[in-house]
Amino acid sequence: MIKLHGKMPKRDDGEPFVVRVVRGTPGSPLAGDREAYILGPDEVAPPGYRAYLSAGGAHLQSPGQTRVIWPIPEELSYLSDGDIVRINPKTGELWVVYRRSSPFNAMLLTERCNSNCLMCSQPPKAGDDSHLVKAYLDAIPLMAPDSAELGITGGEPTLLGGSLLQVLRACKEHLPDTALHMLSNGRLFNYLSLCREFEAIDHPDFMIGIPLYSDIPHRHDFVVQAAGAFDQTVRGIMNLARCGQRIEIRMVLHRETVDRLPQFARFVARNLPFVEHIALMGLEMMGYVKMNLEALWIDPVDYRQQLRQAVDVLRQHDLNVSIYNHQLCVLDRVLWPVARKSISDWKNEYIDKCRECAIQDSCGGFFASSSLRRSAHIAAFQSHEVCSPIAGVKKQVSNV
Amino acid sequence: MLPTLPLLNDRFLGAAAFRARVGTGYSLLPLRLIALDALRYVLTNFAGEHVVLPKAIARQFIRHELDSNSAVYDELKSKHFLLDDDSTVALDLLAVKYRTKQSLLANFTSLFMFVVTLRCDHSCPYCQVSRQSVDRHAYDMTIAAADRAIDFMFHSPSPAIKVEFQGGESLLNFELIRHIVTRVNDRNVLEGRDIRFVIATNLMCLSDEILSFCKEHDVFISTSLDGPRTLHNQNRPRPGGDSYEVAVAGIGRSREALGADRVAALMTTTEASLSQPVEIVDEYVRQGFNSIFLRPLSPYGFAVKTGLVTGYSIEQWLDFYRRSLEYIVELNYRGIPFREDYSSLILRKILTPYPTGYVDLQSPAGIGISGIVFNYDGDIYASDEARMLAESGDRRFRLGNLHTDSFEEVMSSDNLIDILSETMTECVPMCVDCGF
Amino acid sequence: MDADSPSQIVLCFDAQVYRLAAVKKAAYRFGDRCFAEILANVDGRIEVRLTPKSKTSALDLLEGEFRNEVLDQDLRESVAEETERVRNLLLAQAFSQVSLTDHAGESGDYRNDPLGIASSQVR
Repeated sequence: MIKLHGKMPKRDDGEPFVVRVVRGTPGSPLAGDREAYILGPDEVAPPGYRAYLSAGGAHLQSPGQTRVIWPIPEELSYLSDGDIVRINPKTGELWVVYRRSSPFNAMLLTERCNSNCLMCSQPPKAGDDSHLVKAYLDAIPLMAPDSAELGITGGEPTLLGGSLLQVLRACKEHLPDTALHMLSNGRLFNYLSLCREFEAIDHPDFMIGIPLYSDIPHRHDFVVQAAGAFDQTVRGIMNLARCGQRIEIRMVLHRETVDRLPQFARFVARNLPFVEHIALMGLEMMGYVKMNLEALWIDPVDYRQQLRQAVDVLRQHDLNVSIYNHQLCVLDRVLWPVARKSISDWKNEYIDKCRECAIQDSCGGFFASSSLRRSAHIAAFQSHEVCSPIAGVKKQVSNV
Repeated sequence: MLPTLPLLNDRFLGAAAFRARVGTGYSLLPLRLIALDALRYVLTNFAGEHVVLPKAIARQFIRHELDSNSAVYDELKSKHFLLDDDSTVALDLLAVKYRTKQSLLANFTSLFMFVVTLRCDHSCPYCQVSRQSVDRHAYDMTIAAADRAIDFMFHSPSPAIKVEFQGGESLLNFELIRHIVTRVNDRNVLEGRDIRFVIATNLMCLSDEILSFCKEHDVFISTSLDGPRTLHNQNRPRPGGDSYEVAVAGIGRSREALGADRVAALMTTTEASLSQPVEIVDEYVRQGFNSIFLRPLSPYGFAVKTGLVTGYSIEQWLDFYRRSLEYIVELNYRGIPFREDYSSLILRKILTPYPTGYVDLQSPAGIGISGIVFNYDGDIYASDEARMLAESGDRRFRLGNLHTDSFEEVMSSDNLIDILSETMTECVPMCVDCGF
Repeated sequence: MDADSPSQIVLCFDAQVYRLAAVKKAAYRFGDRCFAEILANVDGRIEVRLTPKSKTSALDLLEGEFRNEVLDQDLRESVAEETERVRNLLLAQAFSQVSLTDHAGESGDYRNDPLGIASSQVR
């Protein structure tokens, strides 16, 4: 598990700022006031940067200069050239906003939400968190334009209204070649007027992932803990489609959603056949799942049949379906081609048993949080059991 | 010890809290029902959803006596046969599904068949067309008629247009085909439609010149293949008795020049075919096709007029169809992907929200408003069958003539509107109630 | 028709239970097999006289099938009556460019949130 937050000694009373990390490329700064230079051992701090970070060792100050040098916390020592961090001088907080080398960068724009899903991995928090949008608006111009994909998540990003649109416009302006994927409960898209705003921005590569948990309205409402949510989300999906937006449907599999999985698949195929992708996702043992573990947990092996049927239905309708967050050993083999290595690198793990497994490389493994509960059927494959390499399992950038 | 149900953390509401409105306002959504057998009804709705229920359950459902906690209640609600106060989005979804089903209607006519000549070298007894011998050029479409047909065609608002060249043997008048393709493409520079050309031909006069023209203009080839050599040659006599050899060689040449996906074949089932379902399918597999369209004899044209063809009963046809289909299913189980196109169309109608565009299975019928035929003499017909019927004296389905009538006149003529309204299953007695 | 054979059956339907339209439709449906004469309101009943067109038809079988058909048709009539309004709404909606069922969603401003979606979380 890679840490994204670290603590440094408090240094001064300055306002928080966002900088791009420069490491190992001495020379004149490209955008010095928005860059932080990481000093190697015994390195003399070059002039012109907004901040200086130390990777350890002693540093020599040039005569007459008294620059503040922030020691990078041990757990963030991976920081490298092109990463973006936010430093809060008042608290000493160092937050890794963006990692240049990761295909899994996501912008958590708000922690507020108008739903309260039973299995939320990122439980909502009320209160003002506008510093998040501000940080990302500062960070977007510093991100590498060749990043393949960038996520937007929350909370519920659409609650931000105009600020969200501002973020989208910034992405379009600074990162036109970066695919943008937003997670939203879709409820506010019930207003056609909001969809029209997205249509007007006309981002070249934008997709919205929207969760839908049942074909039966009150079952969905229960899972998201909001009466009327099903109607709002479904109308939202239809409105977005009217406005030419690309849509993905996300289904999280747990005890309260797996029963009607085949019917759910049929419902999507018949009513929302225009969606571009359907992701069927395993539980992440985070946030509310910990509170509701016994009520939600079901061994994936126990819903193999429903999962198989659902995928069959979707594929028969020529829909693009993927399974996320499942280990290959708990899946029906015919589903292997749609299983994706979906877990973000910073929270992806394998367990001891996996080391003996012949197909570990093709398998998405576990969330770090899976130590809480795993399938009772995790088993290593011997190489003779799997005759050919599993070509179907692709790496998927998914912001999970 | 009783198993205890795992509980949610108490900051969450239980499922029951969200069920409060379930069952109240229980009302039916539009549906049709028909007995499937002695014990079951099939219920369908106009968006194409269906559900099969025991008759007793269906009656309970319609009398509002269904338990709102039952699985069947959920199924009917999920498939939009039933509405309650839990949700109203079913109305939006139903409307969109219906609109999708009807979407091709809005596009209007998209298939235009040009009968470029009635001349033909074959003398197939089942031919739907009253063919003319090869030297009778009076039965060729004139350039003037073709040009008017092109004008007429571009009056249709359809964004996608299919131009099909028919005969007779269409390639006997290849010069006119060349003229039409070139002119349509020139005009389409401004029109910007998605246009596809298909030549229906027996491949007899295929030449390198024709193939390179087809290659250059992305023209598709559609030919006839009735089955194995003996059957095909028996069905499709020509001087030399080598229709099969000509077709197979032509298919090969065309594929090589244009690509396999540009070449299609159609079969017609004669009385002699009825005993050879496996052989016919095998012939298609052997020739490298991945599908077949099993078609019965058409009751029009030459065949009926002359009595040259021995007909067969619907039962015989269905038996042939069933046996062919069984064999095709078996092929697929053996790992040979192969499709029967007519079943595919029907299944698409039953199982998906999408329309098929197949003119023979539409309400209202596709005549005129989906497909239209320009005969060699400039007459405009509602369908291919309509011109056959006219050849035998019944001109009911003749909609006008290219030289005298405009697109608007033809499309709004009483003649066409009357035919269309009589084919709307939504209003025809009994059809209106039919579950199928 | 052979005049000597018992060639007619008479069926009665309770007019309180069955709609006249259902009986008529059933008779129409059986039009290929028999002639039908319908007498409405005979002491609160609908009387149907069926005369098979071919005398090979088994009369008792015909009676059972006709009764089932009336049952089916009556079910259809009740569906049609109940769903007529919603059917018209759906057809109007299908060919309308705007939503007729969700006015607030269709024309409401998301910034004002007239449906209260942004704050509807249950806590």
